[in-house]
Amino acid sequence: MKHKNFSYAKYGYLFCLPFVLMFLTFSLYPLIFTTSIAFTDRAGPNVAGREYNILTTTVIDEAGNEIEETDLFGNFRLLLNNRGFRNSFGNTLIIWSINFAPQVLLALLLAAWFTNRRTSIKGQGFFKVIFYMPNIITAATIALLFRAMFLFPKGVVNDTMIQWGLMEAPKNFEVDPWASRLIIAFIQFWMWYGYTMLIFISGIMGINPEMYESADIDGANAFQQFFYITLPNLRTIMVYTLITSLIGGLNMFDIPRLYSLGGPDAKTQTSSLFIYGQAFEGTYRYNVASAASIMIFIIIACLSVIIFYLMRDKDAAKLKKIQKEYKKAQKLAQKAGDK
Amino acid sequence: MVETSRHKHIKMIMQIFIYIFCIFLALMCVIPFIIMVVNGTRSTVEIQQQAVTLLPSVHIMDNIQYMSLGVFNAWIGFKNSMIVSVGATACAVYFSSLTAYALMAYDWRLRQPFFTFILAVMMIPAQVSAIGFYQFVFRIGLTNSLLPFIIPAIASPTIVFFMRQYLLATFSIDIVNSARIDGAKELYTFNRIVLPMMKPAMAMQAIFVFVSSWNNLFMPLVLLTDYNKFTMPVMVSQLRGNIYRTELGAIYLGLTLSVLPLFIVYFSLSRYIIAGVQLGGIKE
Amino acid sequence: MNKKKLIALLLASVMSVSLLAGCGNDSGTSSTGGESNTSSSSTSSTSDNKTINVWSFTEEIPGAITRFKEMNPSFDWDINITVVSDQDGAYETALEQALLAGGANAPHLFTAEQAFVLKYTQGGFSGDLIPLKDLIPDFASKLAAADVAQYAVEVGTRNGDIVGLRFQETGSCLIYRRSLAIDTWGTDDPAEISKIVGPGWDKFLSAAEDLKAKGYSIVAGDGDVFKAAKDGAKQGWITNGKITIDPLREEFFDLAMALHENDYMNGSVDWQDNWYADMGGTGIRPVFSFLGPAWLINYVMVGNAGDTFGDWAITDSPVPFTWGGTWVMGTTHIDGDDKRAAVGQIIEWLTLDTTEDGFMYKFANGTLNDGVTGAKDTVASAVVMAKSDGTLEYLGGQNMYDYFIPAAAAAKSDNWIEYDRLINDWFADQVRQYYNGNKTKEQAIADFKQRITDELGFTE
Repeated sequence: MKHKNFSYAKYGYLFCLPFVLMFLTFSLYPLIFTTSIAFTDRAGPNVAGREYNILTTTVIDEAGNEIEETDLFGNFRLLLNNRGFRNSFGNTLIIWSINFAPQVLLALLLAAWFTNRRTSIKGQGFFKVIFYMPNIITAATIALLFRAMFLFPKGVVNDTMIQWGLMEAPKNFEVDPWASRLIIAFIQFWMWYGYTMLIFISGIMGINPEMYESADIDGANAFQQFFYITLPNLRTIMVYTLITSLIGGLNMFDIPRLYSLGGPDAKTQTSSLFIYGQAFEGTYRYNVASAASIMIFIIIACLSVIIFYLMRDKDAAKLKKIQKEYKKAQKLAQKAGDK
Repeated sequence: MVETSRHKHIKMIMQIFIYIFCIFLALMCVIPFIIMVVNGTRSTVEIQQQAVTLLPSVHIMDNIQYMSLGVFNAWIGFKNSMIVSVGATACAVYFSSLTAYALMAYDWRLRQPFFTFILAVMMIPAQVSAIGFYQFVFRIGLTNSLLPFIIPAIASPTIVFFMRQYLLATFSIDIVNSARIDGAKELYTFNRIVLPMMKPAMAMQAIFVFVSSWNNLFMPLVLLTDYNKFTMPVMVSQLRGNIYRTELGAIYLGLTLSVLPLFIVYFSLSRYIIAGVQLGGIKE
Repeated sequence: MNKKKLIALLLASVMSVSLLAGCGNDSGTSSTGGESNTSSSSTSSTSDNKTINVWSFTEEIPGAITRFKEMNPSFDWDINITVVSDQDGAYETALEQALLAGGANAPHLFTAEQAFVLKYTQGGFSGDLIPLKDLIPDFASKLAAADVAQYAVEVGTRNGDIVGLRFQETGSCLIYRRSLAIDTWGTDDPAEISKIVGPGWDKFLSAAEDLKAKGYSIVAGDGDVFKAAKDGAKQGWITNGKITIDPLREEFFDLAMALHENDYMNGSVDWQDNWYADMGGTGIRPVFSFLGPAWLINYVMVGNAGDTFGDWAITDSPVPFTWGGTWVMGTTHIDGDDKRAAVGQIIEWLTLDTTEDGFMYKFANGTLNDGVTGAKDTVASAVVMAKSDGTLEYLGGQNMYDYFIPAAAAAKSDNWIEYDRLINDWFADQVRQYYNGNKTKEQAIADFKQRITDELGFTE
């Protein structure tokens, strides 16, 4: 058996084929449809379907003496000057930053506790299971319950605060922009810390236990083990968490919509809510919605590149190492074949 | 000796603190469920008067009776939801693992561009392209079919990304190489050697996909209009009754019912999270 | 290398096939759409099948149509019912996709609620609707005979053709507590109370002062008043493509401020716990009145009445207004004259039939289901209401139609526009910001206009 120049590369393509095929079948058309419409004048309730044959038309601008000019980026310019769009992006960043750091820190702390083999907390299995539960109920139910808690003039929170002497008169949380932002950030935090914790736990459990064993022999304490073994080895999973949380955060939709409908004073209106409103409500400015989606996509992509850059070294090193091993193995296999 | 006893002391206090903290968090996580279940036993008016309470009422039979009046059929809902969720979960988890493996284990020219592409797809805001998806499904005549909720899960960029990151931290090509020397076929290697290694990650993602697939409401509402194809959340949405009168008690009962299977799936998969399955084969 | 090329080729071909499939289907759909159009314009034809597709967002109308079939055994058409709950607009999305897709599964008869009806009767989808005179013989004379409130007909009118009608009337009244009225003014007579609380908001506020002296709130929250206040306006939010704030609507800023500053209301928000509590007199202060149509009484207030059951009465609202309502429409997708006649028969039974076998009579008397006495509700035809029994125990035996018939006649819809649902929310939101001291009135108005510009594209 001769294996000279045998390449496994074809399997790389082959194993990706199902993904690619399904993507092309179900996502490509919506994607092309959405993207192309951003450069058109398509708006109105029935536009999404009826005149689909001319997707590539562009906005015709009247400039001066009825000279028609194509204006490919008209929708994008409109958005840059749109206070509602800027405001919604600002809201998204604010609400996301409030909930993101506490969420990751708490998740990390819990993951560290629950994977620590020395303290071994009793009933940790129970806690792991319970903490993910807020993610099981639908967002609609959660929003409903939180609304019911913060009611004015009588509600669980108002009544309790007055009873404990923290407030003199009931507060109308619903008209207070910052109260609404904080509550939404809290709901997001509460819904997702369990999820993030599970991700971290699965990452930590993937770390080679021998590393901890030898650290034990060297007399490293729990803190040292966490900072010198767990954290560095969690980096790839951390990249995943940062990126997905960024994407999820900048696309935050359910809770702001169901809890406060973007109010009060549009102070909890997120980018996704703005985009949704453009596409599916009012004047159905589908083209504007599409342009806004593209802009949000570009922002997410830029921020992701930054995250990858900041966290890059380990990734790259690991990949290189695997590549090296791979080549070595190929040679080995060749040799084995030659025998 | 003094040193260690003080350590033990600190450790004890730390432990107590951790327990109190965890119990507090656990309560916060469980209370909404209790409220939901309790509300399923209350009448619409009781819920309207006070939505948040831990005291059950006596109207559960009325709510059950209301459920049985309309088209609500828990059995059909469960069946369809099961087909959709199990199908989507299996597709998403298996094929994402396979794709991630392809990204890790093989050296092919388009590897890096393809990974970048997957990341890019993941970052596309979903709201707007949904309408394109509906149109597509309407045109190829797959409305009132469960397939559009299952098959597209094969291309789940987020899960591929997770699996790839997971493999990046845990995977070693040596195992594959040793299998290759033994003459194992590539897909066989993946199924028999790599997949078992990925169990914790797969269980995790399986839970996430299952839950989100099960709770998906808007898309099935739009694409499934035949009673026999309704998923559980769509069934629950049918409990609203008259435009101006929402049967809240029945809806909460419906919500409770629709969450039960999730619990079963979650608890059965959670042993992978709890038990701490260590990866075999990594030890060199 | 060859293999790579092969795979690249494969990918490219898959891509183009999927694109072609999309395009092919495009043309397929549009051509069938064309066919159905031509068939509907041909003079006489029969339909391909005996199925009528009915779409709605609750079980109410489909249930009624099932009842219609039971009552008319000779009506041999199959009714294919599709109910999509309108959570987050899912009903509208599904309905629109089905209308666009056309074909045998396209909706033939569907319903739309006040919040989104204009989109269908006058907006982007009005081309899909068929004039009711093409479905129902002698339509004009039947409509005149039923005496339907003019505003509701106008909402269902597209360029002079009536395309949608409704069965339920939602002209609204002031619903008040008798005992609180006696305690404050020494009378609970609706005729007297009508003169004390209205017409107009000045009288309403002075009545509020009287009630406050006795420790009562005149309303639960600003939302109750806003529903009526916005309907008093002469102009809609957008007129001739420009943002318009009718002076009567701008007045709501001061009205809401007066209610808030002087403690005339409890501050409850509609559809939340405190609002329901106010209906049973268990809120922070007893609430004198609510403003709304008959369905608010039947489906919301009666259930929450508690000890106040029977202590209520109705009289004229300070400003006439309506709230809610469902329109029934037929589409151009109905194939064949026989099917058009069948759909017309259903719509006629629902919205024009004034006999005791008609849907409206049963609806008005709560006798839709034999043997079960359901809630009585106001109906589109004033003729039917006049011959129905509208006495409610909840209202202390008062006949509610005495006040709901004039309320329907007085209501107007000429200030309604397609975007009301959104713009009303934004306006009420800014008013709340103003009276809670978060911003000045000028700022609130400026922000309100800015939001319309940002989100809908209209300018001043």
